[in-house]
Amino acid sequence: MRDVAILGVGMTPFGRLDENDLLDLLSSASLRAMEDAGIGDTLIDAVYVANMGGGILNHQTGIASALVDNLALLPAAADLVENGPASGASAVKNGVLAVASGYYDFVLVVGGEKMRDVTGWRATDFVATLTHPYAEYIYGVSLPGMAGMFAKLYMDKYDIKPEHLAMVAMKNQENGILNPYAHIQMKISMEGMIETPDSIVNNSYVAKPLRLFDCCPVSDGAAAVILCPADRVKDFGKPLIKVAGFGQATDTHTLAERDDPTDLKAVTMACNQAYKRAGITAKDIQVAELHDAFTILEIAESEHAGLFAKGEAKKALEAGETKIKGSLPINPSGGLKARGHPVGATGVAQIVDLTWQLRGEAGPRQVENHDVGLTVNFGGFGNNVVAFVLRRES
Amino acid sequence: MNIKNKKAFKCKECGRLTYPRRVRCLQCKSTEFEEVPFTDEGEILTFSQLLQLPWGIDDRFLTFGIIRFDNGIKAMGRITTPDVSVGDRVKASWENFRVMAGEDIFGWVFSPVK
Repeated sequence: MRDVAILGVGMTPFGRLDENDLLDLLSSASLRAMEDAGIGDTLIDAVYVANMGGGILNHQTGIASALVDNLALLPAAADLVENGPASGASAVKNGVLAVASGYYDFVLVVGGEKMRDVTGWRATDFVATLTHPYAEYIYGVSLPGMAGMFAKLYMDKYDIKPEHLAMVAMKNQENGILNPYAHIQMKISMEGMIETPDSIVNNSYVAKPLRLFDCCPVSDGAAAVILCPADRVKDFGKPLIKVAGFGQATDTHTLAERDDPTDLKAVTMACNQAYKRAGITAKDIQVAELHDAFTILEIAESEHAGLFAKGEAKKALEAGETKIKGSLPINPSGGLKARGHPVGATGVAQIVDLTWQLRGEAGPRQVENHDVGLTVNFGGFGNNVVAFVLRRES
Repeated sequence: MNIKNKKAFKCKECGRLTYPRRVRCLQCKSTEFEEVPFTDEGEILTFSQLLQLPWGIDDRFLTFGIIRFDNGIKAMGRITTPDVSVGDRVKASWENFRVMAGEDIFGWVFSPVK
């Protein structure tokens, strides 16, 4: 197996992008990554597209074939990867394996979603189709609903208060203001969110105990990476950002069948695989992009990834350790909470953001220590999780 | 859909309960199952009240949760009131609770035991 590196990255701004269709977004992110990599397009052997809802939301299938045509990358191989909200990292994983195997040298991976073609209610219903059709979906459960049931148990078990969830929201929205690609560019205060008359209006319940500001927005957007063998990076004069390891693990489809619904086993297993492959432990991670589709998930994932002991993440939040200037910055991009969550794009966007951090190109949101970083892309409600460890090498 | 949904199963090899149906036991990989009846009551393991509803739901809010039936089977279903707590006893009833695309949908509806 060959070592694989991230040669180029790029993304569109995330948000409500009424002027662009799905193909526009995927194409724009791809061109930005190709430009960043500085490669001629004839080098690209294969394209992996991550998208969850083109068929449902945009009435368009076969999007990978359409993309290579639009980008004039014919006759490059083109595949669509659909793995729910973890489609992005799954597509990157497929690209990494293709390069590592020696079959392809230069691979474009692009993830995108155009969710605002439909109303918020339709988008919520679309994401809910990943739940079990007979045992969950029919009851009207949504992903916020699944997260609400999880949050109730996790908060009780580890004595996590609504204020801790609000701290995650405040931190990530502060980070989002520093990220020109972020969907949400708004500072929020504890007083506006919790236990005040204002909060009743500003921050109503979505799925108890989770409120509006505990949930990520519904976004349009796309993100792309160019992968290549690590020993080819020097030909392009780019920093060497290696895919040090990845891991992927699955868990039961229904939440009800888990022996302990507060145990996100797939997160732990995926991260441990990634650490092992990279030859590190969780203690070596200096910066992380976690899948905070809901604020409770940033807390729970950071504990299941081994970044903090169970029940300790709230103390790190209270001490500001997970802020950009803290000892272990989490979601300096703003995370899904502020950057937004175009579901197919998210896993790729996490890797784009982490690459910028490791290169030292993250501008005002740059973290101090940036040699090794982690991404966690959380599919389903934790039933399919993909983690990456990236490492900057000289 | 409804008939398939109402049945719970026990693995003939290791006894692990499973709901809904699956083709291989998660524990021992056996493909042999026997049907197990649900009990009349159970307890709430977790729940949430949803106030922002997906498309297709006409209610203002709804409450659902995961219930462990007294024989150990676990299932999600609607709960008739948000005024419940984890650990509360509920009575289970299989009801037509929704219409989707013109089709009557049956499923579990749980109400607090008075």
